[in-house]
Amino acid sequence: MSVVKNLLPICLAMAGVLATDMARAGQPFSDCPSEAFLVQDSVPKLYGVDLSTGYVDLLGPNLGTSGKFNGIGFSYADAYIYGWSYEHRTLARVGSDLALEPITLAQPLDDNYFVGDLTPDGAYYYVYKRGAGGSHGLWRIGLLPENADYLQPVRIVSGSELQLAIFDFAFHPSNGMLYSVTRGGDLISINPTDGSMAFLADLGETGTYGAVYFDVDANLYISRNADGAIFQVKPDASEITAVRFAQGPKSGQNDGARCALAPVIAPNAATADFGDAPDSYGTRLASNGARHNTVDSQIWLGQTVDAEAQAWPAPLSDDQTNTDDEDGVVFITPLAAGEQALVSVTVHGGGYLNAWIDLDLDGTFGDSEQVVDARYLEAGQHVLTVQIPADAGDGSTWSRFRISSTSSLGPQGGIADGEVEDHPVQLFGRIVTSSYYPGPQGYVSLAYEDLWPVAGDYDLNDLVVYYRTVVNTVNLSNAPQDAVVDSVTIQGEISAIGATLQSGFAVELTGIPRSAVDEDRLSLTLGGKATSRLILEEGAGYEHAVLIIYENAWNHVDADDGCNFYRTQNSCSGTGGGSRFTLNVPLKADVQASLIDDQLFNPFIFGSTARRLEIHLKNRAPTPRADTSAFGTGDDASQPGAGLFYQTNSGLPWAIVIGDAWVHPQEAHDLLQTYPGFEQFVQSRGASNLDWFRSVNAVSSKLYQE
Amino acid sequence: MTYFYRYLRALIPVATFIFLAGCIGSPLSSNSTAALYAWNKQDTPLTTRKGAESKENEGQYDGDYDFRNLLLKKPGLSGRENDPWLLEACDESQCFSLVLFGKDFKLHDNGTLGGYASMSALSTLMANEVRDLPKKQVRRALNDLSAQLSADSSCDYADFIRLDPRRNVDDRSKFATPALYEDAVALKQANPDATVQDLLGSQVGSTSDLVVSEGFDFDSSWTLQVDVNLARRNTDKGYVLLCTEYDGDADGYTVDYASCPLRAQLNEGVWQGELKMTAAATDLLAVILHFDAPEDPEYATWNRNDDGDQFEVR
Repeated sequence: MSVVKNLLPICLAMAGVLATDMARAGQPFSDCPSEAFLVQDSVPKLYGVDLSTGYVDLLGPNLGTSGKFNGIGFSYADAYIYGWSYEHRTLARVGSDLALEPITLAQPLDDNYFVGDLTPDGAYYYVYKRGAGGSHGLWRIGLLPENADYLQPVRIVSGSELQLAIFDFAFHPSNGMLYSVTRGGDLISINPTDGSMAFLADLGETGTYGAVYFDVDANLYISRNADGAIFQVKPDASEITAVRFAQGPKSGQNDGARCALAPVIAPNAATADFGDAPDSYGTRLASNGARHNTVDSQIWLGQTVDAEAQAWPAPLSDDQTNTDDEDGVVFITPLAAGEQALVSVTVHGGGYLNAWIDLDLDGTFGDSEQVVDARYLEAGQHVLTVQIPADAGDGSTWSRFRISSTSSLGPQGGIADGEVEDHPVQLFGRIVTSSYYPGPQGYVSLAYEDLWPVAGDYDLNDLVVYYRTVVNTVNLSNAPQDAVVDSVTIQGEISAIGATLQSGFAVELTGIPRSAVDEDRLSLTLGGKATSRLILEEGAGYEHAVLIIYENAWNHVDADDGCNFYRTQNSCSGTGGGSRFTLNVPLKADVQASLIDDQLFNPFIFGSTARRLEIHLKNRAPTPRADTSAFGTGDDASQPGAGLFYQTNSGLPWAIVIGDAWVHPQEAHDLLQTYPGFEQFVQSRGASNLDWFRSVNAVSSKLYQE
Repeated sequence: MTYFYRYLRALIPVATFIFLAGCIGSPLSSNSTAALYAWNKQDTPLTTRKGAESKENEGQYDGDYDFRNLLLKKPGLSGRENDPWLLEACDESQCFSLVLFGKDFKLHDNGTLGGYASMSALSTLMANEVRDLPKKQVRRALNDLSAQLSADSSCDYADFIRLDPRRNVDDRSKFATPALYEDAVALKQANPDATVQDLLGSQVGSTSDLVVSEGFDFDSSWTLQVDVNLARRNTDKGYVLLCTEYDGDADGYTVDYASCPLRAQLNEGVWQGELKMTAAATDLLAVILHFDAPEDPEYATWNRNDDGDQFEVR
C-alpha cells in the first residue's frame, strides 16, 4: 500500500504531479501525491482518487498488460507503484510512463495475489492469500538491492494459519503494522514480523473493501467496492468507528495505493467547495465537513461555485473576502414554526438537492432536520415549499443546501461534484412580515462629520457606516394599525474612518420602548462573533431602546501600515471585516408597528470617551444621555424647542443619510466639489438630482480609491 | 503597396470603414509637430505631421495638421474605424492632445480623408482623462464626458470635437458653462496633466457655501403605500413579495428573490401596509406566491411615475 520514510513530504496536488510525470516515460513518479492511486478492471486502468471528495480522474486507460495488476502499494523510497502482475505471475512496478514492468523474483511464487502493500521504508513488499497451498499465506519480498534478501520471497505465515477474508491491506505510517477490514466489517491488524492478527473493532459496515489507504495522520480510508463509499477510520482512537467520508467510484475489482506521507488534501490545492457554517455543523475537513470536488463538476447552485484549499467556517467565511458563491438559495419567506416556507433554489446543470435547517438551534444538523431529501432539480430557478415543524426554535441559526449527481447525501462528507451552500437563517415563533430598508442586500450610508458643535471640513468621511434595517411585524388582522413588532434587525459595517477622534456608533429604536426588548434573546455579532458586553443601554428616562453597536469604531478596523485613516486616503484600504455587525432585537411585548415612524430609526455617533457627546442626522433628536448644553454653541444653530437639531445657521448638517452604499470623498476633499450635483439636490430641497451620490456623477479624482 | 491601394479603393463605397481625419485644428503655430499614436503603443508614433504654414489655404489655418493622405501613405490603418488613436502636438512650450476615431471622418473617392476636428485645451483634458482606459472603453467614456461638458448634455464625442471655440466664438455657448473653455485653458496651463474631472471640480464652490432650508434633512427616502387585495378571486394561503431586481414581461419573470424588501403573508388574500423606499426605487414587481402552487406565481408591476406612491394589487 504505502511507504513512510520520514515526515518531510513534499506533496503536490496529484493532477499536477501526474500530468508532469506521465510525460516522462520509464521514470518514477516524482513526488508524494495527495491523491490515491486506484486500479480497476481485469485489464487494469489506473485512476487518481481525491479521497476527500471521491473525485476520480483516469490517469492511464491501460498499463500495457492483459492481466490484472493488484495488491498495489506506493513506494516513497523510489516513487514507483508496486503490485502483482497477473499476466506475468510476479511482482511488477509502474512508473510515470504508466507501463507495467515485471520484476523477476529470485524464487518464483507462481501464483497470483490481490492483497499487498509496501513497508513504510520501502524495503519490503508484502502479499497475502488465504487458504491452504504452497504459495498461499503472508509473504515478504525484499526490494533493496543491497540486502541479501533482495527479491527473495519469504513466507511469514501460511494461508491456513492466517485465514482472513480481506481484499487489501495497508501499512500504518508509523507503528509498522498492517491494517485491513474484513468482509464482515471487522477492523484487524497484522504483525508483519510473525503474521499474528489482532481484532480491533467491529465497524458495523460490511462489504468488500478492495482499496484501503492511510494518510499522514494515521487515518485509514476504506473504499467499498459495491457502492463506492469511502469511510474514514481512526485505528489509534480509543473508540473506533467508521465515518462515511466521501463517495468514490463503484467497482467489481478494486485495489488502491497511496503515499501515506501525504495529507488527504494537498496544501494550497483549491479543488473542493466547502461550506461556511460554524464548524459545529461539520465544515472543516478535520470535522468531515461537507465538501464537493469542483475540478470537472458541471453542477452547482446559482451563478458560481468557488473552490477552497480549506474550509472557512463562520465567522471566517471567505464569502466576505473572496468570491461570494452562496448565490443559489434564497429564503423567499420568513421561517415560522408550524408553517410552510418558500425557498428559491437556482440550479446549474441539474442534480439532486438535499437540505437541512438547524431547527432546534443546537449547532448541528440532525437527521430529523433534513428539509429537502434527494429532490432532483433540473437546471433553472425553482421555488420549493419547506415545512417548518411546530416545535422549531426561535432565533438565528444555519441551513445547509447540497447539490450533486449523487442522490443520497448527508450534511457532512465529501462528494465528487456539485456544491454546498450554507446560509444563516432566522427562525420565528409566529408568522411575520419582513420589511427591509433599503433591501435584503443593499445598504444606505450614514456619513458623519465628528467635530460638532464646530463645523468640519465637509468631506463627510469622519465615519461612514453602511447600514440596513429589518422590521419583522405580526399582522393581528388585515388592518395595518393592528400590526405589532416581533423583532428588529440592524446590519452594517464601517466603510470609512477619516478621523483620529474616536467615535462610537449606536442606534435609538424610536418607537420601541426599552422595556419591550427581550434582553435574554438580544444579540449583537461583530465580525461574526457574538459580543457579550452590554448592548442595550441603561439610563434613567429612556423612553426608547438605545443600542450600542460600536463603543469605539476604531476597535473594529485596521488601517494599513503608514496610513492615518481607514479607507479615506488613496491606497489605504486596511481591513474592516471585524466591523460587520448584526444586531437582533427581539421584543417580549407587543409594540404597535405604527409607533415606528421611520424604519431608519435614529442612528448616531458619540464620543467613545465622552458618551454625552452625540452627533445625529439633521433634525433627529439626541437621546436623554446627550449633553444638550452644547446646542447653540460653536457653529451649531439647533433649536430643540422647534424640533431643529444638529444644523448650522446655514442649515448644513453634521451627518447625512445616502440611499446606497456610497463611495465617499477622499480625505479633506469637499463633498460638493466631489459631487457637484449635490448643490442642485440641496437647492431643490431634494426634488431633483436625486442620484447626486452616484460615482458616475462624481469628480472621480476626488473620490476615495482602494 | 499596389495591392493595398487596390484594396483600399475597393472599400471606398463603404464610407464607415475609413480611418482618420483630413485636417486637425490646433492652437499651436506652424513650427509645431503632431504625432499620431496607436492606443496601445503611446511611446512610438506611427507618423508625424508639421503644422501648416499658410494663414488660410483651402480651409487650413496656420498650425493645422494635414492628415488627408494618411491612408494613402499607410493603407494598413484602414478598417480600424472604431479604434481610438491619440494625436499629440507640441511646440517648444506646450502640448495638446486629441483622441481620434476613424468613423468620425470621411473617405473621398480619391482615397483622401475629409473632415475636421479641433485640438484644444478641452480635448487635451479629455485625452488625459481616458488615456489609461482600455481601447473598448474609450469611446463611451468620451461620449459621457462630452455630455457633461456640453450645454444641453446631448453632445456626443463626434459633435464635440468639431466645436472650435478658438476660431468660432459662438461655439462657446454650446458648453455647459460660458467660461468653460477659458477655465479649461487656465487649468491646462496650470497643470498639463489635468483632466475633465479636475475641470468640473474647479467649477463649483464648497459645501460650506451652501445655504439650506432648516427643515430639509437631506434624506430622499419616501414611503410606498401597499394595498394587496385578492379576496374576490383567491384567498389561498400565500405570500406577497415586492422585488426590485427582475427580468421579463407579462408572460413571465425571472426574479432575484434576494432583492425583495417586502415579504408579507396574505391573510385571506389581503395585505395592507407601507414600505420605506430610497429615491432610487422607481420600479417594483409584486410576486404573489401561493403555497399550493409556488411554481406558478402571479405578478404585478409598479412604476413611480405611472402609479405614484401607492401600489395596488387586485
